[in-house]
Amino acid sequence: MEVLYKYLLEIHWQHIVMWLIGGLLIYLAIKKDMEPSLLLPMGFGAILVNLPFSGAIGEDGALTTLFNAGIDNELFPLILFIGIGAMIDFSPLLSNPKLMIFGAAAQFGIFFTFGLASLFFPEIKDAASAAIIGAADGPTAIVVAQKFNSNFTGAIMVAAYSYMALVPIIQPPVIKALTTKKERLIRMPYAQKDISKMTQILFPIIITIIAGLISPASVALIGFLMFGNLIRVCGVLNSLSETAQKTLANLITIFLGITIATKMEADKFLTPETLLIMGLGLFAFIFDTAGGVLFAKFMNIFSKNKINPMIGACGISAFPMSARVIHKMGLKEDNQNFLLMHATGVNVSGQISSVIAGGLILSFFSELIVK
Amino acid sequence: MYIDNFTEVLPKLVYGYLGIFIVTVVIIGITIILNKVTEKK
Repeated sequence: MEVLYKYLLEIHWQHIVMWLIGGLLIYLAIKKDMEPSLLLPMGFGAILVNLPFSGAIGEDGALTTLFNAGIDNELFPLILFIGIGAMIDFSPLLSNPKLMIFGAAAQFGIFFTFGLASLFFPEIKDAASAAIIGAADGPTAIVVAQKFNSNFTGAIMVAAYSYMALVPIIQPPVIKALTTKKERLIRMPYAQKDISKMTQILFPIIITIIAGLISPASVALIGFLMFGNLIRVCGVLNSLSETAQKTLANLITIFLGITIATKMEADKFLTPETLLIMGLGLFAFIFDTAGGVLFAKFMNIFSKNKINPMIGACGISAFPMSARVIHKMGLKEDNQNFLLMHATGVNVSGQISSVIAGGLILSFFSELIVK
Repeated sequence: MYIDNFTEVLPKLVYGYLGIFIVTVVIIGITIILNKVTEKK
């Protein structure tokens, strides 16, 4: 009889709190449609790893094996990047390359938050890993946190994916606070240019070479993203492109979400630092948005053709959510103001810039890299 | 508060943020050239 209840006696309040957190993630995924492909596996995984003496983790646990095979060596996020690269259409950006500057500007939150976080964490590697949540890019956050072997990888991953889902809630109030009605009404005519096949093919190759020369540590990140895009645009690998976009991305997403939960054991997750990381992640998102918007306003001082500063906010990597949010905001102000293509161009540039930002942080703090 | 950490990372963060702009300007320049070159063809 004892076999039936002995594990029940091992349940602590921390386990129950983690079950509730897991339940909350599942609720947000199903009811609120917030990044369901990741929050649902993470939520279920959080419950799975927080059962007393869970056989899913530990030396021979299936999730630990998956973690070692796919996240510890950064393989899952990198392979996912092939799928993401295959999904991205760089045409709006190639039509108007100058938009790329907003992708750079919107990485402000990462660097600002890094400075702030360095005041709170005794180890700089944890400050760097927390700040990279501002990349609004799950795979980049995972790779940077893993390379620095951060003590708070679980919290960083949960924060990164949760805030990506909260972009429609986080960005609009920040944008409204920083812009006037007149600025939000600025129309930006869009002229579709035909981008040659050659440009589309050379673009991912050139980006890989430039980023790789500046930040060798990030070459796998940008390289896999651009490899996925090359498969898409080359025109001779359509079935591979389709597989990368759907089957490959879906498969990795299933394993990524549930495997991340390995880092959500109660004793490691229920710490004051987790709350601090959640706070810093939010801070990074807010200042990314502010950085992009304020930079667009700054450009307007010198520019003859005025830019709607709202598109500056799309320079984060949360694609295509951020572009959609800005497009809707534009339509709400003026139902004839179509910002989608400009916003999409800035949004894909944010994808590139966030990876470069992650790479630069790895380069500048290379002495902290442990793997 | 770990003020020493802050003073250690601050210069690198400034260079890092500026670095992104430099890389981006280079990419923009190359893309504009690429567009022009392939447009002629």
